[in-house]
Amino acid sequence: MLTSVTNVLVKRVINILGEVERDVSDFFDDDVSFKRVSHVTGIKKTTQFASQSILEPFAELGAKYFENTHTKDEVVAVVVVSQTREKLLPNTSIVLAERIGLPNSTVCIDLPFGCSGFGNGLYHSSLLSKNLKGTVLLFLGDNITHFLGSDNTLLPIFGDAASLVEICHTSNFDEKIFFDIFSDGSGREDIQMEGSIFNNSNFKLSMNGTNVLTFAINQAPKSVNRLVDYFDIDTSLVSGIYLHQANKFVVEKVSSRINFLDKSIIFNDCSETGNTGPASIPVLMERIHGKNKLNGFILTCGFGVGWSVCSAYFNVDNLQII
Amino acid sequence: MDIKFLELMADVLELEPSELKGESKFRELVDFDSLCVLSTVAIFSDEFGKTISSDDIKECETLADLYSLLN
Repeated sequence: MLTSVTNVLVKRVINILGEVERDVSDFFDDDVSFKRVSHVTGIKKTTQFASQSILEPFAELGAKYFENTHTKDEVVAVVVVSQTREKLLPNTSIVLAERIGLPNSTVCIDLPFGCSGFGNGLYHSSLLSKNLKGTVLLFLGDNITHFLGSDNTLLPIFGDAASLVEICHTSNFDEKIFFDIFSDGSGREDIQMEGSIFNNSNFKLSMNGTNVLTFAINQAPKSVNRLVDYFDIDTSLVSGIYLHQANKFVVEKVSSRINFLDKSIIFNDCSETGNTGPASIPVLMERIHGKNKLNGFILTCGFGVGWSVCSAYFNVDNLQII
Repeated sequence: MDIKFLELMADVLELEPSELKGESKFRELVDFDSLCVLSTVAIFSDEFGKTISSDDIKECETLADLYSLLN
């Protein structure tokens, strides 16, 4: 689905990484194996939240946000994008809104998207912001490392992080965000959280890496190219392309198929965090730019579990990374 | 067999192309692990525009078997 939402802009991004830094070499029995994998994935460290509750980093982000903005009255909605929500019920967004002192009138939505979560979260948050004419706080993140079990093939890849993205309403119709949204349920078994709420079993992430790679290198670039072509985007205005940081190898393959001559603006770095799921794009922004203002127009593309892909194009002249 | 294919597979297996032949049983040459599978999938896609799966690779015993997947 190709679509756009007007009268909205992205204003702030705040990130938190897992407090515990883990050396990926610790997951291997020998240095040769570690170097071989790390050379391909580009990941040297992953981060882990100490708490098993994703609510804690989200609440910390909320507190940081209000320290910087003092605009509780303008917040109309809380959107939580997480695959490791606090509980299946109640909604984490409802609990979070209360935790950070928002009124009962706050619209709260949980969206359990994974690696496509930034774009999908941004889309739904934009609709809410436009319709409610207010600020939406989009929380993105997983503490996925607590769900990997002892599967050593995934431990060197995934990390925990959380992000808050502020989406604001504006009366300027020209401020808009463009989206390409793709969904394909045929990939349902290739990344999944095994276990069932009905028999109270433990949950564990499983992944078919080969099928994930095939999906990513086929569908992610198509989404970006489709978005650019359909909306006739002037590629000379694009100052950066931020892909979901699955790992260095996947990002390289996806990048090579994106129809941009200047590949240097397609960023690729999850070396110190690992794959942080729905938070990986805002985390990448801070990794590349630091706590600074961005400028120009950017493209983002998140892709993963589902299958789900969501690309977005928007102006970042108002965006501050805090 | 296409020399380009042999050279690319030599890269995946971290061997010299001269060590490889069509009848080479690639799982006996190296520990053909998940990284090798991913690299092979990427080669087929990048260099030959062909999508293959890990199941396709599982059915193959020799480099000639892999090469036949191109057709």
